[in-house]
Amino acid sequence: MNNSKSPRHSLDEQVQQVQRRTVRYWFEDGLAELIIGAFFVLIGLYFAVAGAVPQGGPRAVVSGLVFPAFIVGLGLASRRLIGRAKEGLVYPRTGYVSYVRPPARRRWLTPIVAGIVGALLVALIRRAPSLESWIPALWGLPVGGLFLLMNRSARLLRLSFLAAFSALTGLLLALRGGSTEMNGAIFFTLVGLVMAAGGALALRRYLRHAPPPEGA
Amino acid sequence: MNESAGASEARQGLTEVDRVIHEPARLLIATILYAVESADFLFLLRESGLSKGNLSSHLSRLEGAGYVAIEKTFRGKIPLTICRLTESGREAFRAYRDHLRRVVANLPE
Repeated sequence: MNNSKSPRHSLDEQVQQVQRRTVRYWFEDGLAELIIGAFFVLIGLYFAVAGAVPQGGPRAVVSGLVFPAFIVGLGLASRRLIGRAKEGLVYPRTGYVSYVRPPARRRWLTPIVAGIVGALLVALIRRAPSLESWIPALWGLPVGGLFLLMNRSARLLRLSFLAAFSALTGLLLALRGGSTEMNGAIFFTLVGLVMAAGGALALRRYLRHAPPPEGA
Repeated sequence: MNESAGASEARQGLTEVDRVIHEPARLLIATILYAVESADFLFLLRESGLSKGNLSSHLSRLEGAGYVAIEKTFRGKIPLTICRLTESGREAFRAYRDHLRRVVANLPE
């Protein structure tokens, strides 16, 4: 087999490299990880507080009503905050990019599928309470999968590390046992702190390499 | 297909490429814009490594061909010159890529 690359492959690779760099630009400043990591820590705090709420009625209200609203609120707030932070720090330094949004059908489908899967898991755990100890693994795997999905086009080492770290943390907590609330507090706080630390380092490196524009 | 027929077809194919996109700087700009919905002048400047004047002139050429739309706007308080590939620009980029793949596939080893 001829080992030299054909011109066709070389062109395709170059095009893909340019496109990968463009996608990677979103992660270059670390702001998304910093902000989402901070929100993960808040979710960890939420679990810690939920663990302190007396079992029974109040806890059911907290986990059934407050938690979904909390997650949706954090999701919306994180998008706004990341946008604002990029407007102030990144766009004046290295330019603005708007990425192709997935089709509307897919945007709706993702939360619907996530909701159905979540409801099925809750139903399953209610029927077989012994499965409850595996809940941390069920957080770690999708969170890790999400990082891998993000990394499919960006190909950044720190995202691969985060994927492995969250899957492993979830698995270790599942093996350790303990209450769901305590495990939730540990899992989200740890993953959030590691994510935020990675983001902060990336931001520091970015700010060093991209000085503010003249006159700013 | 024999080798000389393939080479002849490849030669013919090369003369038929879209010259607006074929120029290396414009190909780079189109490739970057193809990966995103839109990008501003500063981002293109940094990613392409072109000078301001060069980038402007290539963007004007792409805009003239109807491949790129340029809009001056604000994001917050920051003035931006936003560039995006038009639908015909996206189509032309895909066609160029497919065309070149076919031409190269027909070249003798």
